[in-house]
Formats: sequence, C-alpha cells, structure tokens
Amino acid sequence: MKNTVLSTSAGILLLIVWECVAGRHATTRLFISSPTRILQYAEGSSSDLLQATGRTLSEASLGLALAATCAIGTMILCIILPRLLKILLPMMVVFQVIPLITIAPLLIIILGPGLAPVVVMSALLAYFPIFVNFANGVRQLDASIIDFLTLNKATLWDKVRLAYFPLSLPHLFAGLRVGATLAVIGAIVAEFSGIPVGLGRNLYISSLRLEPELMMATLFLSATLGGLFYAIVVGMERIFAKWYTPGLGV
Amino acid sequence: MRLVVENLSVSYGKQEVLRKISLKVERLCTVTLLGSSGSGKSTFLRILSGLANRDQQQVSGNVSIEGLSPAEFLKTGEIGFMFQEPNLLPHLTVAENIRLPLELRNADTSYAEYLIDQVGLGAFRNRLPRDLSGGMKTRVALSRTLAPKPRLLLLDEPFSALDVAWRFRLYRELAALQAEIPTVTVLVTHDIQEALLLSNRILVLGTSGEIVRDMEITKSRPGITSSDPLGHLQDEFRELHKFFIDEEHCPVH
Repeated sequence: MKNTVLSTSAGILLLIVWECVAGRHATTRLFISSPTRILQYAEGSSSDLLQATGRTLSEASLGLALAATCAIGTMILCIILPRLLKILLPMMVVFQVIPLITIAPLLIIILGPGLAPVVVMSALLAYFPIFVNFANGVRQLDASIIDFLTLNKATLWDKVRLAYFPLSLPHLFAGLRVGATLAVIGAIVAEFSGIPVGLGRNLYISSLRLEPELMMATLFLSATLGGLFYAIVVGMERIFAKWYTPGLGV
Repeated sequence: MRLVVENLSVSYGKQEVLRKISLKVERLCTVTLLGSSGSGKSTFLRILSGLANRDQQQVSGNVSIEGLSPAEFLKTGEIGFMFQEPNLLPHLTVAENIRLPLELRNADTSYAEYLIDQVGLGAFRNRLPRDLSGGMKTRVALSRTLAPKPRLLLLDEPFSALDVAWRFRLYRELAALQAEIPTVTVLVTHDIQEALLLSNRILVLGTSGEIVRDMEITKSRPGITSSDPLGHLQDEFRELHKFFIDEEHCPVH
C-alpha cells in the first residue's frame, strides 16, 4: 500500500513538472508537448489513433502467433533430429545481429505492401527469444525423466507431450514475454516503410512534420500495446502452467 | 527369469568403477548390492537397465537378461527402475504419475489405484508433487515403478527417504508383489538390516569396484512384521557391520 502511494505520488509529481516545463516556452512545445495538449489532441483524433492502434495490434498479434508456432515447430524438429539444433543456433545468432530494420523495405518488395511484410517483420523479431528460451528449457530437462519414459515404452511423441513440452513451459513463457513486446516493436518498425495505417506510420509522420502531440500520443499507445501483450502472456502462463506458477507476479 | 553378468568392467576414462563383476541369477530372488558411496552400485543398475550411456563410460564384459542384451530387454518394457531421486512429473498429479506407466502400455490401471491406497496417498491423489514431502514423493515413485509389475526390478536406495514405519510397510508391499509376479529384484542400499530383511543374496562391492563378499541368505526369516525380523541372521548382520566399520572397505577421507 505504501509503495503504491509513493509510486502514484511520484507519477503525479512527474506529470506536474512535465506540464510546467513543456508549457513554458514556444520552442520547447515544438519538441515535447504538455500532457494537457496531448490529451486534447488525442480526444480530437481518437478515431484515427484507435484505427492505427487496431492495425498495429492485429499485425503484432499475427506476428507473435507466427513466431511462436515456428519456434515451437522448429524445436520439436530439433528434438527429433538433435543435430539440427547445433546447426540452427549459430545461424540464428548471426541473423539476429543483422539490423532487421534494413530488411523491412526488402520484405515489402518481396511480399508486396499490406499486412504480410509487417507480420513477417514482427515474427522475425519475436522468433529468436522464443526459440532460444524454449531450446534452453529442453536442454536443461532432467535426463532421468526421459529415462523413466524410455523404460515405460514411451514413444517420441509421448516424450514430447509428457516431458519436453510441459517441462520447458517456464522457459517458453519467459521467451514469449520477451517476444510479445518485440512483436509490437517489429510491427511498428515495419510500418515505418510506407505502410498507410499504423502506430509506426504515425511516429514516422510526426517526426517528419514535427507534431509532438501525435508522437507522444502514439508513443503512449505503443507502450500500452506492448504492456497489454506482456500481460496477456502472463495471464496465459497462469492458466496453462498452474503447476509451477503459484503466486506468480507480473 | 535368467540374468547373467560375466566379467563386467566399467570405467570413466582412467577411473575404474566396476571391475570384473560376475553374477548369475537363475531363479526369482532379490539380490542386494551393498557398498560405500562411489563403489559403482548405481552404475551397475544403469548397465542392467539398458539405458543410454550418457557419461561416456567404457564398458567391457557381457550382460544377458533372458538371453537378450540389456538394450534389447529394455524394449520389452519389463524393467522397473526406481532412481535415487523420485523425479516425478511435476505437472501430473499423484494418481496421474502412478497410472502413467500403465497408460503408456495401454494397460488396465486398477493396480495403480490399489497402490495409491496401499502407500497411504489416497487423500493426496489429486495433489501435485510440489505439495508432497520427500517421503511422500518416494512412495509415489516406488508405486509408479511397481505399477506395471516388472519382471526385472531395479531399485536404487528406494527406501532411504522414508521413516521406519513406512519402510516396513513398503517392505511388505514389495514382498507381496514378488510373491504375485515372477520378479528378479536388484536392490541397492546402504542399510545392512534392509539388505538382510529383503535379500536372498548380498553382494558387497569394494571401493575398487569388485565384489569382495558374496553372501547367500539361506536361513529363514520370521517375517517383516515380526518383533524380531532378522531372527537368526544376527551373525550375518554382525559380519557385514564389522566389514563396513573396517576402514579398508569404507575409507574415511
């Protein structure tokens, strides 16, 4: 209770300082608008902002789903063919080092304008942490549990559904928590490259036109979207992984 | 049930863990391995189980179970192996853990239900392993091992985490199972009394991994529920006790 009061008080104080500093000079207002101006702008442009948020939400959702499906599918293949993991991991590390923002225009050329390049970009960013964490979970699995299943005539599919997948859930969800926020970032970054609607497009336009209200409102919505994705993953973990999540905090 | 081990030697690099172990079992019985820590008892069980050689052991000699190699006999699903750690599946309940070996074999699970009550866990059947004490987890692990009624039973210190009351109850349960199905049991324990109570034959492994004592138990025992369960085996108890007290066989580092 005491911490909540302190945090809230600090937040209110920050807003007051921001309002005072931003409203003081005309030059400052060009770069950082005040909270009241941002609220007024958001009220007046609510339908456009909601449309942009909805578009980015759908792109990031599809991107995260695609990334998770591909990561889990790849890992199951690696369980069936253990040497595949040793080949794939170094390749993935190299790929992750490439600034993915440079790939966005290429994706648009290959896949055309529209939803597809943004979804793929979003998935590309989210894929690596999901896969690597899931792989770590599988590698850290107690081998004697697999021995127990082998002794009891378990098939490979039995081992995946009874051991590899459920016992790697803590690591998988850790990867999904990171991947969820990266999926939002990936969608926003891809929208910089000429997509007509979206939070990324808003950020791009606002930086070109020096529209701080649009930028701040869009940043707030982006952060909220990222937080929402994170909270959804945490909620899913509480439902699907009850056996290790008593009292799990966000 | 025929188990033959001929000149089995196991080493990890230059360190020899088991040296020229030979054993022949041609009737249903319980063979116990006694020995100090690091004498190769668990390694011997793992070799018999046919499980993959994860630790880069060098193995020589011959092991045959019903005329098959351990890896071939493993595929029959007739081996029950209880490891030192319970290693229950944490996302499955007590009942699900115990039923699992039977479900994997598409077999009737009624014996698993019987075992849950026999080991005193009826009230915990829907609990997860995280809610159980160490002793309870051991009871679940043992029940899970016994549920498919294996013909070769490998037990690695199965009763070490249990209190005295539960040990004797489970000794009875084990004896009941052995009376019901044709089982060869290979038991690893540090407990001399347990070895004498449960075994037909006791092999003592020395610190260099060879069999230093092979004791056949032919005297009758009053029974586990008796007030004097060891009965006429006091001499054997004293002999083994003295053996382990002697620092040569149980060095203090």
